[in-house]
Amino acid sequence: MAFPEILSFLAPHSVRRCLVIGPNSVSAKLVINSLQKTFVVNEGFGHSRHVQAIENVSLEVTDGEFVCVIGPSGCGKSTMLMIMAGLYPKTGGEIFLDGQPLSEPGLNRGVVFQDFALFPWLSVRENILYGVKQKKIPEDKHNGIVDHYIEMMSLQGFEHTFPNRLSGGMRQRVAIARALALDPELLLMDEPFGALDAQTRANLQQVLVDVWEQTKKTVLFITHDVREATFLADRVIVMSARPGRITAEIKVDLPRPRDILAPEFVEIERNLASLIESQNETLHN
Amino acid sequence: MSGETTTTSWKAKAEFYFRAVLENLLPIAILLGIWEFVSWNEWVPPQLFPRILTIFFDMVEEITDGVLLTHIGTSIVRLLISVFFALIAGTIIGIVMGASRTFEWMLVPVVNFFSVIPGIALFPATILFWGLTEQAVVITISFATSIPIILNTWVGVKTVNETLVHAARSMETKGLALLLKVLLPGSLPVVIAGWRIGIARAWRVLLAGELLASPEMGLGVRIFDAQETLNSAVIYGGIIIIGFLGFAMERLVLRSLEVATVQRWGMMREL
Repeated sequence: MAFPEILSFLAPHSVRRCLVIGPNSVSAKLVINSLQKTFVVNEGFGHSRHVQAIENVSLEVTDGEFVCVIGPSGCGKSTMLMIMAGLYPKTGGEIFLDGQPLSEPGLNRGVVFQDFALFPWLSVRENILYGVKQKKIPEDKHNGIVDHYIEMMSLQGFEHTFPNRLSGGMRQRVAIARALALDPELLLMDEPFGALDAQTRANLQQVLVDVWEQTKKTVLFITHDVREATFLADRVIVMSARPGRITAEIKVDLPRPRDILAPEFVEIERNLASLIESQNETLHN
Repeated sequence: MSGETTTTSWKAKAEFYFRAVLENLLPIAILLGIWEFVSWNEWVPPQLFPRILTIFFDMVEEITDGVLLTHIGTSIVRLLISVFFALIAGTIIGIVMGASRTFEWMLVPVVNFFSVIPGIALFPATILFWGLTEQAVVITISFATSIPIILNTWVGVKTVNETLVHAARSMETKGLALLLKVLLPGSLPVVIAGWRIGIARAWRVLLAGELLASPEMGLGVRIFDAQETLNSAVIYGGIIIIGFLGFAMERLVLRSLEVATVQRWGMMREL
């Protein structure tokens, strides 16, 4: 916020709020302040239902941090990501990315969806270029950008293939390449490996870690897989089911590449699993 | 990881076209064979049900006279002009209806109101305005044809995979760009199906128009003239020509478009 501190009383509430945040938050890339989301589900014929998906979620993510959000299905973690992508409106709270309030979709965020969401009528190359064209990057740079991400995601030779002709793992590589080609400030990933088989998933997790170490992007990664979160994240946020709230937070200090069989890894994984388990118990009681 | 290689051989190409012709013409040839068998045995009086060969020779005779080709040409021109307007207008209206709540709300009742009215029932009204003219025929066909195209396009747009729309919106695609870049290609399988239904309807309304507005030339004119002289070979010949033209148009234009787009993109299963 380029707002002089002394004039802060003139600023609208949302801006003032941002200024008061402590020195710790100055370096925060992403700030979420008591986020709320209530859905009104229209069931037709005059029936509607109010569902509170997210209740009072606050979170700060520093630049270059890899944060995993984990929780049982229906805990609002995907909804949270959609709000950050600007695809769903929030019903309360504030989100700031690089100090700018965030509500609309924008090319400063790259989104990777669980079911790939590649455009079937565009080739791999054209899919990767979609956002690049939206950013109005001059055409003479296109080849360089495409080649760079094709190589990064090991997609050589498939530039002119249509996505529906590719395997699930390959499709998700293209989707990640498309999101990265935007050179986004924030990479939002919504259970991106959830639809893949175990082997492909393990493979892509490693690819993602490599890419993240190369690009140093800030990543918010939604998952329900404890091992995946432990393998990928600097920090794991645990959410509870309906309405979604943050119930715990675990730092994963292990060096990368991580060995999923190392005792330290297994211990963190077990801790995380028991945190989620205890929630399920409170949910059922 | 190895890439993809493309191969095209003359042998594969020849085989493709041979199969295409065989698969499309064989069922019709079988049907005509049964016809010939039944009429050759005279199980039905030949005045009512002439042999295929008789129909065929009558056709050849008329072609050498030059009359038949004029009839066919006139009908096809009428049809193509009407279909041209209906495809453009119907597809645009359908997309807008599928993308905008206001247009949907305004147009759904209107389109559904007109969708039950047969094209033939519209002729008396259009003839009031334009008289017994080509305009009256073309306008009526266009109108009737656009209805199923609108309905299909509308449903097609509304059923485009929501994640695709999310992906496009997350990359700042909205308004007209969203329509053209995502909603139109995403709904193309259903839109083409609508064009199919529309064009079939255009043929039906065309024939009704040629009966009611009674122009000089046209396949419909020929059939109804033959009815007055009880010339069953010409009646059946006309029906066969119409069916064949409609079928050829569907296979050569729409099916080819499908193979080149939605099937190539993997949005439609190959059988």
